Parts: sequence; C-alpha cells; structure tokens
Amino acid sequence: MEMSQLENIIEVALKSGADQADIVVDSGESLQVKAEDQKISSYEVSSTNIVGLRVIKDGKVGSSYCETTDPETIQILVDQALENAKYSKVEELEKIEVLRSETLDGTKSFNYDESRARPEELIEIALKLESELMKKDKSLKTPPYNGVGEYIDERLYLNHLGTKCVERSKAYSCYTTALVDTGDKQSMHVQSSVVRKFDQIDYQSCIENSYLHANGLLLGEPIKTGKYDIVFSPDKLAQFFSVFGAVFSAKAAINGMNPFKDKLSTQVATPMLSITDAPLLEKGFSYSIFDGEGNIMSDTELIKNGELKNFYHNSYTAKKLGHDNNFNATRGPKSTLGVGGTNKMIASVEKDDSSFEKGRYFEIISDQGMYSGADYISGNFSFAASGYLVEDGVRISPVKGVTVSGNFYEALKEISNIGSEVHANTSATFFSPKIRFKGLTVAGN
Amino acid sequence: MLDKTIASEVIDYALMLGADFCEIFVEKHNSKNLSILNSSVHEIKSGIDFGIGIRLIYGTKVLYGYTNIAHKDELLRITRALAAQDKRDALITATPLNFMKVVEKHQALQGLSNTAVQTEEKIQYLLKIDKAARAQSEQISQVSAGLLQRLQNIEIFNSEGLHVTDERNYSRVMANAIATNGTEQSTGYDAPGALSGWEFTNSINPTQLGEAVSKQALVKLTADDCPAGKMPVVIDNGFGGVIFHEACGHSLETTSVQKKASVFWDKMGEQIAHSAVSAVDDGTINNYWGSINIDDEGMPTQKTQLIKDGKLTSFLVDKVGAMRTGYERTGSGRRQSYKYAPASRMRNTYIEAGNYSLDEIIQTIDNGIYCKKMGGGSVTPATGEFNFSAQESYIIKNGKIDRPLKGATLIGTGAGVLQKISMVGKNLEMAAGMCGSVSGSIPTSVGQPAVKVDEILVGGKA
Repeated sequence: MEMSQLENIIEVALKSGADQADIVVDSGESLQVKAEDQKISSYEVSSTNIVGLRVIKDGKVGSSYCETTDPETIQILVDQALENAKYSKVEELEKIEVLRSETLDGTKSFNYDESRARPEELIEIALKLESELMKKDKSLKTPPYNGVGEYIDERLYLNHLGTKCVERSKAYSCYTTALVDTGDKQSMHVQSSVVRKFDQIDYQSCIENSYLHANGLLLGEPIKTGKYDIVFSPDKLAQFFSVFGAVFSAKAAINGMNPFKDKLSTQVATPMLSITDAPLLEKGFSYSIFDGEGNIMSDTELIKNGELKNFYHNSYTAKKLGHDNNFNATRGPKSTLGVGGTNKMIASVEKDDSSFEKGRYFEIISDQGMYSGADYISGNFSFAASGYLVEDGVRISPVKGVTVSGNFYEALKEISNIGSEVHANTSATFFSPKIRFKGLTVAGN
Repeated sequence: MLDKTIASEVIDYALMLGADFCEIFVEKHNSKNLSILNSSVHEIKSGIDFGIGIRLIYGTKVLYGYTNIAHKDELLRITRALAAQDKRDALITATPLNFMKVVEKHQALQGLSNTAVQTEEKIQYLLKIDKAARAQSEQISQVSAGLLQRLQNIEIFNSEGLHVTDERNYSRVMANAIATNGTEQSTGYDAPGALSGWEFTNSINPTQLGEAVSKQALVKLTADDCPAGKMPVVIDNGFGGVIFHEACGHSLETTSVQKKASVFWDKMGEQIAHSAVSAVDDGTINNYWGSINIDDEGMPTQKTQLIKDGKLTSFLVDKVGAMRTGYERTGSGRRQSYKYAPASRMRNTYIEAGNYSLDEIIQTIDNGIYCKKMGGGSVTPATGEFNFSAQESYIIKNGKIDRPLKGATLIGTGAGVLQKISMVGKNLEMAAGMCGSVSGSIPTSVGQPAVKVDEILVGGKA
C-alpha cells in the first residue's frame, strides 16, 4: 500500500478532531495448492490489505479498521474511531510518542527476496506430497490434508509525528498427513515445514515424519495409570508454553489476570530454566525489527535461572507498573494496543543428552485439547496425548488413548532436567533443548 | 454490493476459460466490540471487512481466490490466475442471473445498523454483570464482560443463475469471573449469543449471568482434583452438546466423508449409536446462534436428521460434498468470510430429548462424574478421537452428586462414545459457541439433554 494513502488517513483523522493518530497495516499475498487422488484439488490465490487506525482525543483512545481505502470508507474509519473514543475512559498514560525522522525498514535479504515460485513448481510439490507418501505403505489412505503455499507479508506502521516503519517477509510452507488404516485400527499424523526460500522446501521430511509417527503410533495402547516423567516433542513443548503464555504479559498483570503478577524477581521455576524472547533471531520466523508502537525491538530476558525477570511491556504498561519499556508492544489492524512475544529461546543445561535420557519417560508427539483442557489462571491442565514410552533414550512402545494432567506452575518447578541440543519447532518460533517434567499424572489403563 | 453486470462478465469469463461452475461471494461485515474490566470501559473497537471470493470448479477440482478490490479488472485477474492451469475450451454457458429474495426468518430489530440503542445503554448492561459477579464474594478478584455485535451482508452470484443477498445480525454477551483465595485461582465463564440484534439481551438477565459465572469460579476454587481412569459420566444439557459436536458432528460433514477421512464415511443406514440416540442439525430455528436463512452457497438451509434411533440417516452436505459423494445438499455450505471457500459445516446440532430426568440418570451411578458444564474440545475426524474439558464437574457417589472437581477432561472416540450413551434426559437445551474447521471459525450452537455415557476415559490429577 502506498505510504501517501496512509498519510492521508492520518491527515483526515487530525482534521476530524483527533489529537494523535497512528496506523498499522497488514498486507499479504498467497498462493496455496492442495492435491487429492493425484490431481490438484484446490488452488487458492489471495491478496489482502487491512488498515487499523488508533486515535487519541482528550486523553481517550478509540480504534477501528477497514479493508478498503476509498475516500468514503476512510471517513467512516476515522468517524468510528473517534466515536469509540467518546465512550472510553480518560487514560493519560496511553500516548503516541515515537518520533523518528528516517523510515525504519526491517526487510532483509534473509527474510525476503523478489523471486517468486512458479505455480507449476508448487503443483509438482503438492502432487509429490501425496504420491511419495502413498508409496511407503499399502495401509496408507489418500492423505486427507496436504498442501504447499507461498506467503508474502508486509507490515507498516506510521504515526502523526511522521514515524514510518516497514517490513516485508516471505515464507513457503508445506504439510502432509499420513493416515494409516488397517481396517480395525487407524492412526494419523500431520507434519509441516516452513522455510523462507522456495529451494529450501523440505517436503521429504514432511513425508518421512508424518509416516514415521502415523505408523509408529498405529498399535499404540494406553499405559497403566500413574505418574510418569513427560518429555514433549519440540512442537508440543512450544504449544505447552504458549497455552500459558499470558504469564509474561504486563497487560494481563495490570488486569489482574496474570498468576505471575506479583512474582517478579522471585523463583517461579527450577533454577535450570532460562527463557529469552529474541525478535532479531534471523532463523526465527517471528523475526521483527519494530514493535506495534514503532519502537526498535531487542532481546527480552523473561526467566533467568528460574527467576522471573520481566514481563512483556509496551509504553502504557511500562508507565503503569513503573518498569522500563522493553518494546514488546503488539498491535494488529483489528486489535488494540497489547503486549506479546516473538521467538522464544530456552537455554541448554546439559553438556550432552546422555544423562537426560536415563530411565523411563513418556514422549508426547501429538495431543488433543491442550488449549481447551487448560486453565491458565489456575495452571491446571488435562489433555489427551499420544507418543512413546522411552527407556534410556530408546522408544520401547507406542502409547495412545491416555490423558496427561497436572499444574503448569508446579510443573515449572518440578523440571528434573533440561538437555543440550537445541531443537526448533516446525514453525521456527520456539527453540529449546528437551525438557523433562517430573511425575505428571497419566490416566490410561 | 457488486454490480450485477460486472458479476455476469466475470462469470462469463470463467466459463469461457472452461470452468464448469463459477461462484462470486461478496461480503461486507461490520463489527463492534465493547468490553469492561476493572468495573469500567476497557475497549471499544469497530471495523469493516469487505472482500470478494471467486470459486471455480473444474470437474471436482476447486479453485478459490479472494481480494479486497471490487474492480472488474481485479476480479478478472483473479479468475485468470485461478484458471491458468486448467484453461480449456468452454463447455457450457452461464444461466442468466435471476435475483432470489430470501425469506427472512431471523429478524433483528436492534441490529448494528440501528442506532436507536446507545452505546451507553450497552455499557450499563455490562456493568450490571460486573456488579452482580463481584457481589457474590470478596474472593472474586476480577470480572470482565463483553459484547460483540456483527452485521454480515452477503451477496452470491453463480453460473447456474443464482443471485441472492442476505443480512445476518449477530449479538453475543461474554462474562468471565476470577476467584482467588490467596493460594489458588479459578475461573467461571459463559457467553450466550443469538442471530439477533441487541434485543436478544432482553432474554439474558445480566445480574443472573454475573452471579452464575462467579458461582462457577467459586465452586472450582475449593474443588478436589478430578480422579483419573475409566468410569461412567453424566454430561448435562446445553454446552454438554459439545460432546456430540466434536465426537460425531465433524465426522458427519462431507468435508471429511468425501476424503474417507471419517469413521462414518461408509456407514449410511447402519446402527452407529445406541438406540437411545437421535441427533439433528437444524439451521432453521428462529434467531438461534447457528441459524442461517441461506447457506454461504446460496441454498436455503434446512433441518437435517443425522441419526434416528441410533441409525445414521444423513450427512451434512455442501455443493462439492454432493458432487464427490452423491448425497443431496443439505444447505450446510458455510464459511467464516470471503477468505474461505465454503465447506460442509454444522449449524445448530443437538441430541434430541429422551425420557429421563437428570435425577433418574444420576441415581443409576455408584461411582462416576457429573459434568454440569463443558468447556472446549477438539476432534480428529479421520480417527474419531476427541477430547474435551469439563468447566464445572462433580463426583457422583452412590447415586448422588457429591463434591465439586477441577481439571476433568474426557477423551474417547466418536464411534465408541455413541454406542455408550445409554440414557438420554428430557431437559434439552442449546448453547452458543464458535466452531473452527477448514472454512474458518463460524457461529454454531451445540445442545443436548443430560446424557449418561456408561464408560469413558476421564483425565485428572488425582
């Protein structure tokens, strides 16, 4: 979208009575291809553009968004934001105050280039995701879900002080689903992969891993009800921390909805655990150079040796709690000012994984209901899980049809070991060694 | 919203490129969210979504594209891009567009476009929820309440001559309370909604809603950890219907059936459930949250009997599902917005009422769990494996409801649980929820009377 069009929206807002105004824009283009029965079953192209406006008038904040930018809609956008501000309470601490003369451009050669995949190339991969998987086993059914896509995104921020930020990125993703059906037993596993360049698409690993676990878990049975050490796969570990991610939110703390609100500088986890948010990590797909207020981002230490060091802050929450702003403001076109993280990194503890692997644990590969079965206020969780029983680092039997229950806040303190080798989740936003949670309740036989 | 001439030109162009079918879905969607926190206004935001989705079908292959730009050139560009791989000589020509007037079954008197109801009145309504919730106990440490109103205008054109418009007004109230006793915290939540304007809140007493979510949070604050293992479970009415929605409903959508990624794909006419179970998906109920006049393919919706006395009687069928499976369409083609191609989805799905009172059902159990209110859940249709959490639950001892529990989760398979529902109550009730699947997140109602499941795996810490 043209900057001049957006500057015009700011101008209209100021002329209509706003004291301050800023805009965020999310634009995107995508091409997605899916295959079924060796034919392309779905082919989707899209282009979108969403503009979010925030105004401050007489100390009151209002926001609105739209997806078209014709003059009539722009005036509606501005009028709605100002109308919404009328009913808000006066909030002296929320201000639009980032002033920078140079445009901040976060587009880098590693996360964006002009080259585009040809549709034929994506179609070829979509067909291979199906055909090469099917060659593996006669028990496999046509994969119910598979696809490959190209995604181009652009983020813009500008405010009435003249600050402008822009960032473009590109990604390719593919996924496939192995569904093994032997008549009396079924097992399914989906595997995805995300990369930044077309020639890096790793469809083979999607095929290998989806088949590995669908086949491996086919004969899974419940284990005996009891306490088991738990180790999550990288994807499931990222999800587990995400479910309880509000513990790092200063906004949730201010709103009385963060169980860690009084825990800064106290021990909330085992001394082995250190977590950092890393927006500038090049291999991280949540790479971001500016936050939702136009500030330049940097690493934020969240937990250091088990001690809670920081919440995520924006300018408002930092002033409200009397802390330093660590520039983790979030704001989408459809959402108001918030806080949030980017790439998470958990530090290694062991020098190698040999001691980590000792004894028996339940390795969780897939789950059902991890989000719906969790209450982040109390920390209680309970969800269905599948995976493997592991003995001294060797998978000895597949496990299905069990639930895993516990309390997240207690589990953080009961971590018995953290490994050495750092693994990324498949969306490359969470980087962690294996973590062994001690004695969670597994309900099975 | 889109000039009819432009729509005709785009459809003609698609057929000239050899498409067997072309559909244009135009959507303008206004929304307003209002929330309170700390007993004062927290956020007010509003917005306008606008976009156009174009669907081409070649044989059984679906091509879908969308844009925010309503210009003819952009729509032709999208059509050309979609058809690029499949272009062939034209086989058919378009039927002239014939406007169809929708029969409005879900009138909204105070929808979002009606400015008679002032924002201040809505704020005061939410503050009543807050006040009632906080009055329950000093242990209520936080209350939030919110209102969502949406106005979705859609217009559909297709190469079979369909031209139809519809207006959908949605309203939903959300209430959340947190209880704290110094060492433990717990939550209570409810969110009734309707395909209606603001007048729907006349049926929702804000004081009672506030009290209810606080009581739920307080009950859980002193609850015991749920025991783990297989046991009989009674799932009460209303949102308890999420068990059927997740465990079975998704597996009856042709979205899964056509791929044979459903445990029920070849079970039509067979006994798939206990004979006590009859189930329905009904898009026609006046002003219900999951109701629609027409589906997102322009077909008038209907009431569909899915299971009768335990036998599978129908799937939920959209246009592509009908093409691929041979079953008749049921007006079930739904999508979150113009960004999604339609897929077969549920509307208001429920188990029909049976013959027992809740007490009669409870009395049959010596040792089990009573789930008064369910939380969210999920399912893998291909295997039927589901999981859902109980928001409020109690232990049953010797035929009576005993102590409250926390952290209960139920897991199983759809095919398995249907066979184990042995008693169905009289107290049918519905509840509003959002359902996520391949065509996005859409309003759906779940519902059931109380049901007894003879045995299910319960996950808990104790």
